[in-house]
Amino acid sequence: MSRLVAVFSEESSLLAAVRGARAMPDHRAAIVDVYTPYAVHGLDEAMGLPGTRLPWVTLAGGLCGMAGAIALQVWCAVLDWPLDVGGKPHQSALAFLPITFEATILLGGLATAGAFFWRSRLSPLAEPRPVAAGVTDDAMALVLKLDGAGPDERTALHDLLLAAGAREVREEDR
Amino acid sequence: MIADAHLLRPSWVEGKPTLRQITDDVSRPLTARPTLGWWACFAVASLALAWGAASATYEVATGIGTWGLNKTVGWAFDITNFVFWIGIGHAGTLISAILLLFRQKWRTSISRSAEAMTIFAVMCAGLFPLLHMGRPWFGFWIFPYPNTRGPLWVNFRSPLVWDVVAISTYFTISFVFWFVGMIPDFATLRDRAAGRGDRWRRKVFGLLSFGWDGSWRTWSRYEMLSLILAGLATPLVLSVHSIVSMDFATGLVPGWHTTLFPPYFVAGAIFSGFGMVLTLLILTRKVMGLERYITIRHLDAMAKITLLTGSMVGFAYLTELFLAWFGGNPFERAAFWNRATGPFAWAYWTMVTCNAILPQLLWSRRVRTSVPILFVLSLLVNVGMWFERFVIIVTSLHRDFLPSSWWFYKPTIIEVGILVGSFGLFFTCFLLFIRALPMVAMWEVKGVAAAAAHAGEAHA
Repeated sequence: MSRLVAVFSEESSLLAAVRGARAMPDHRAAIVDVYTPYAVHGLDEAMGLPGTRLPWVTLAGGLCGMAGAIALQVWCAVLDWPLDVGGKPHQSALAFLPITFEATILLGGLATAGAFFWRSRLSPLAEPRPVAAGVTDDAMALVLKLDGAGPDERTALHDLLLAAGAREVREEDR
Repeated sequence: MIADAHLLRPSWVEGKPTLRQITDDVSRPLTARPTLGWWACFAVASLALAWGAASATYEVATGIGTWGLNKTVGWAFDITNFVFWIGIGHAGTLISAILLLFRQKWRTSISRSAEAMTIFAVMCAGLFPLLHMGRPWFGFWIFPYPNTRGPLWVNFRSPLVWDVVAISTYFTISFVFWFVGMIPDFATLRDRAAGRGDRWRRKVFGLLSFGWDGSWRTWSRYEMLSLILAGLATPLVLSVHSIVSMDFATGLVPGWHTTLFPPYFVAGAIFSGFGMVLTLLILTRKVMGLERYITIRHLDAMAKITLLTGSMVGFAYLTELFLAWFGGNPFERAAFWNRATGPFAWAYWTMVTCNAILPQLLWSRRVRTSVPILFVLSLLVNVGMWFERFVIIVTSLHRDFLPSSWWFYKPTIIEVGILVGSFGLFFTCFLLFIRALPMVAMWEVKGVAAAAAHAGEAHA
């Protein structure tokens, strides 16, 4: 895959370049990804990324935690070994609430974090492939797909990126 | 009108550092040799930890009778320390989660260290119920697991079991939040460690950074993850101290049996936590040379929250007194009369002075922006909040319904040792943290600094 890497030092130039690339006619210059040292405000909109579905994972995890906690408590305290504690009913639904609440939070949070790591392919053994020096420090990089772009288009893209304020533009094959 | 825009919306970082400078300023202490001040603090902290470890070892080997709990005050020092440490942790979650939801930008440079404080404080807190069990190696009995005793299950109606679940959940979620928040910074440190002598550093941060490469698709999900974790941690932190307060409120002992306890405890927890954050940050910003990122204005903002929560605590004290008088329950009345005038009156008035009266000084901007006064006040808040738990527990227990079992409680040297040891553990962990990990969230500060720079450009 042949691609174009542009490096910026200002988030305003990066945003301008992203907007410019997306406004290019016939969309040959698809954005592969953008690499930044911090969460740049407004980049989601500029790139037009679809929203993440992580909140659904939270909901599912939370519901599992809730159902699991209710099931465990009812099964233990009502079905398996009912104990008379101070004459309270075996099915003390209100007293089961705190643990149910905590389990909802716990599983909701862990499921979301797990889904995030899995979806973003982050793990202790993942090998980082820095796209340009300093993208975890003070540089920002925009990576465009070049496959199928003619020489004219390449020049136009180069010009666009430099005009937006890129400090370095290079083509690479990988 | 907007000529003074920087006054209306001032920057939370002093002197407009570049992105590279932020990385350098935060990472420098991690590779530099520790200062003399750090070594001095570390020596004191590890000595305290050693004393605590020795005391705890003696207690476990001999039995909890080595504490002054053989008569009437069955909780001795232990639960006072437990509630104190749990409370300390709450400020970290407030800063990292609740202020995130409220989009308070000033949280960025203090959130990392406040979260670390939460984790270490919860570790200290967990130690005390464990030691109170007498046979800590059976601590796992508190969890519901299939066993050969029936299986006999734990009593899910007991607030003590709620406590275990709440605190383990709190620890887990806080830890995940803290760790996830550090991943981009680990990647920064990994990429900085390019020299030949940095092989181990590169390896360790390489593992910890999970292969983070700054991809925006990851950032986008990452922001959502932070938001969700903050949204989950917010009700969680409120629930944790509410449940801790139910350890008391569901009991019938005079002075405990009140519905005021959950909000009163949560306010007190945040109050004490901010006391501790102020103490720690006033010291570390000096020792680590981070005054540019943890500014006077941060201290000012934290002082305001301390004032707010301190006033809530003071209001709760008055409400308690009023209800003891107005409720018409003679036992309740006697308990509060005993608190204010009995043998522990000195503890009660220490608590009132440190928590309700002295923080009122923070109404003055001069006090809020004076580092020495703020430091002394923050220490007094810690003292006052420790005494609050002592007053609640000991004064209620030492004279309950049966005058024949009334007793005066005195801690033994072993209990004092374990309390000192918990401070040792806390500070040892914190001192190692500021040496080994980035104590300011670089990526968050960069975001705030960049946003401020752009706001400045727009107004200029």
